[in-house]
Amino acid sequence: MKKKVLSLILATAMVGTMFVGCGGSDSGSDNKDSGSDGKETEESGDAGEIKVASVNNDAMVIMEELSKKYTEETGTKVTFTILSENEIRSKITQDVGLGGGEYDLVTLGTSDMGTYLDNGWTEALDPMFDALSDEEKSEYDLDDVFQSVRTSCSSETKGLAALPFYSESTMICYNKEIFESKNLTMPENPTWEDIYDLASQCDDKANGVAGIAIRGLAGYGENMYIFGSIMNAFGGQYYDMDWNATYDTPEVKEAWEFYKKLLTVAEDSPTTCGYTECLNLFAQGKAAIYYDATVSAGTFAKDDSDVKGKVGYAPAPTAKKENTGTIGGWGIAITAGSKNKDAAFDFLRWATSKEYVKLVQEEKGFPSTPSGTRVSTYENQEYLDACDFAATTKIAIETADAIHPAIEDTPYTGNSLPNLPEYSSWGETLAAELASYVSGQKDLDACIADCQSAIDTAAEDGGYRD
Amino acid sequence: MNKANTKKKDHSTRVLLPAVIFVAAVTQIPFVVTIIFSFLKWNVKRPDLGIKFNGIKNFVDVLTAKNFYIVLKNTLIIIVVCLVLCTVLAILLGVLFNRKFPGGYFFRTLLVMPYFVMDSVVGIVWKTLLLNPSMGLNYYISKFFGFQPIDFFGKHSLATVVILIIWQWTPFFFLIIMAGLQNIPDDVIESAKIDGANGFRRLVSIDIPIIKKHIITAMTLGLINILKVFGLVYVTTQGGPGVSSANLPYLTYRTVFYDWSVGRAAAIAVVTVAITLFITQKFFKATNKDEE
Amino acid sequence: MKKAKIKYALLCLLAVVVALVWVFPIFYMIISSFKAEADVVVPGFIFSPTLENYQTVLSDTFFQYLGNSVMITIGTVIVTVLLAVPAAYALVFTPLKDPNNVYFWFVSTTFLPAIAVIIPVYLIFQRIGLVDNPLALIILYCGAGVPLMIWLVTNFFKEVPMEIVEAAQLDGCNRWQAFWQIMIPLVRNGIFSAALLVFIITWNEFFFAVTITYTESATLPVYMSKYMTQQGYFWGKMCATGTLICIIPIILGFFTQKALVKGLTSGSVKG
Repeated sequence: MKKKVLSLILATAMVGTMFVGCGGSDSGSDNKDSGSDGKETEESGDAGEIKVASVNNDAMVIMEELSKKYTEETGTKVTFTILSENEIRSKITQDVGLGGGEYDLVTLGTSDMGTYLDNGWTEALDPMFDALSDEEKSEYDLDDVFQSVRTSCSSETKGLAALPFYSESTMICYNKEIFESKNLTMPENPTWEDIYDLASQCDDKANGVAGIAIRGLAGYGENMYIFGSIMNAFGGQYYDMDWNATYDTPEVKEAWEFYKKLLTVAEDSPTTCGYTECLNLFAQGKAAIYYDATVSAGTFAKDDSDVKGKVGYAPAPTAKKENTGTIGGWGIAITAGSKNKDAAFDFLRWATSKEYVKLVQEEKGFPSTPSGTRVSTYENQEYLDACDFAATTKIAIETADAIHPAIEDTPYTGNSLPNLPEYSSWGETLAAELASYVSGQKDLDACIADCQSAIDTAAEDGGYRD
Repeated sequence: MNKANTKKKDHSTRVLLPAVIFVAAVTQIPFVVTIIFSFLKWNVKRPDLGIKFNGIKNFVDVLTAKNFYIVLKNTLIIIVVCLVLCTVLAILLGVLFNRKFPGGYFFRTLLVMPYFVMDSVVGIVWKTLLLNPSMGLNYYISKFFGFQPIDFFGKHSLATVVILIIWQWTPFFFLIIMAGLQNIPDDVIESAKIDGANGFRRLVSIDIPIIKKHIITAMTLGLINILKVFGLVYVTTQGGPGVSSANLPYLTYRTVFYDWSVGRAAAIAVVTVAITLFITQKFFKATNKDEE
Repeated sequence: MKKAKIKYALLCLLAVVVALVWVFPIFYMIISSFKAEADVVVPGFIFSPTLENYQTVLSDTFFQYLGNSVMITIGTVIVTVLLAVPAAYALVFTPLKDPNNVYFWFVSTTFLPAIAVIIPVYLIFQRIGLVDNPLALIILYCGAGVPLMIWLVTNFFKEVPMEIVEAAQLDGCNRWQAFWQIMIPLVRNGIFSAALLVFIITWNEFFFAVTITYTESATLPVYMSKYMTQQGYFWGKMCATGTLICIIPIILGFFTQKALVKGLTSGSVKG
């Protein structure tokens, strides 16, 4: 018994010290800084090392490869941890949120960038830009980054939180070959009902062609990324200006019903298909229409794609609301715990610069161009000629509005993914409910009621109404 | 258990102690911390709200959530169905492979392979290359025979998870049961033959009682590991659609890495461990009684 | 007699078929790893094999991760054996107050799911500065390995006939001489089997590995995660990585299966 009590006390003491560390994370990281000073001066000979935590998409894999050139130029070593989306999100949140401070640069999705800066987990970039010399400023040319993208990479109160390494909105891609064989045409500005009609006419799954490839896999960044923009189009929103959940409105229900209807003309087993699956389906000519991120168009234009040269494009479909394109993509932020902020900022600017865009085009070809970040990329006639999707991508990015996702005003910003720290939690609940509804395991009213209560509880627990 | 009653005292605890201290430090301290966390309100993503004492509210929240009971039910279904089917299959396979033929060792080893490979690797292979209804083998086979591809991970998610667990764990059961079968003395088999017992009767009345200890060992190790299955669920269904194929470890994972609600996740973890202890204790009791 | 022979042959054939069907997913993964990305999706065994996937996957990073995996796994197995075998011996052969309780305590620690302690484990290792250190993984894996090993090896020791123990004492061996010279050879197979199980569990462990490593000490399953992706299509590379990760346990399994079965049997030899 004595032993037990002792171990309990010991454990409590340990936990206690942990809290001290967590609560005063600011002072904690200060200590770390001063503690590592000696080390830094020792290492200053070889300009140090930057650690990057990154999601594994094409753009980042290319960056890892090309970072060797940066190392040659500057002598700074750049090491990458590349993990798939789920793991990297967990890992980054864990590292910055629990005070690990191992990474200098982290890739963040659009819905996280603002909140991470607000939490004090990443560095505000505006002061860092201000500190640059005029020459460096004009070399980087921050104004060249799309205004809508800069907005979505910012915190409402603390300014720019991350720099985009590629950015995307959503648009329609369709297989022109299939459309021609069925004598169909895509309207210039399709509505969701148009898309459903077209998809149902193309749907021929018995012969391996689905009407539309669209995400149904549950996940706050999977089906919710697509469904969020459908819901916005139908006029739904998550909260009113007083943070009351507004998920049980007829608009939201209509969007749910439409989504389920649309999935009947989509791929088989839609609740198992996420971004990759849908991308593969369309790239292999197994779907007539595709609604997803603009960045996919680059994949379809590559040599190993079966639909190369056969893809037509249209902006994000509408219903009650126009401009339902939804800014997504990834940005890179500097962690607050980084011991090497200047070097990290230098690499960050290099990796999102005009020169870097050019470098990728030279080394990897035009379809791999980091898309959707810089106006100047779209002023390059060679790129526009090589990639027929570039023009539609540009419109999709420019028109997306991260400040006004819904018809009515919202207390949150962001497009299909609202920029709220709790979103990963209740978004996941909504995603699961949506999948249950689509797969026929639960009826609409029950799902909507559970979603409404999850959203409402989150506002209550998060103290938003105080 | 203790064979040393007659022996002189020595410093045997000195040998035991390092292991005890080590295991206690590595497994018990974190768990004690988990128990403490389960009484806190702590959302990692909202550092501005701080970490507060939450009483037993986490436990109340967990035990009143509808989803928890669905997940609990899934966990129990997985454990019961998998344990029974793995054992039965492993015994049948054991009997089938307990004979000498050219290449027998080779094929027996093939059968054991699924246990040796990483669960998330095979999970991904099953999900994408094999069972995907639009691109996997599932599609091509269904097309060949002219029927609709089966929606394994959508409509039959729990059953599919169960099948995958059985596929991976039966080889482990098989390995242990095989060891038992090979160990049955020849004279027992001979005398059974003389008695004229046919295959099935011989299995039930002679073989199984002899290898009972092996069966229990296999089931115990299987029980503990199948209760903890996470990788397969994580890479194939992610617990979905909805929570239809989630088990308790997966629910804990979601609460940590999506909700970032450390307190509630800790509460689920504590409840999970309590349930695990309860089940295994019942199991131990049942098997011990059997043994006596 | 002839009928019996045919029946026997048919049963052997059935065994072969079952084994082939059972292992098919792994076989299919290995086959697919030699297909070009564009061919992976289409089933079929006629294709022009390519090493393209392996060339991509076998980067410097891969070998760094492989090195970590080998070091951590071997380290874990060694430490586990050193801690667990003497403890199991002490549990069976030396006078303790209540060995059963200690034994069941060990067994019960294996019930703990990794996810239940993940945040505390991360925080503790962060406090003591062991995050991204191979030692951290070795410690954690031993925490799981030692109880498992004690569990199995205790059973093996229990089966050692008492006469042998007594004979050893009559020969004038002290307890530790008996341990080294008589007991260890007797349960060698059992220790080997248990060590192999620990090896496999450690080699394949993903969850702790991804949580408490960054770049320095990450293991192969973490590398695999790069290809378990939501972005882009990498099936061929995924299969190649999968094959590379599985190949060591598979080879090991092939050569040790006999010993493994023997080891598991040795636990039930009645004295």
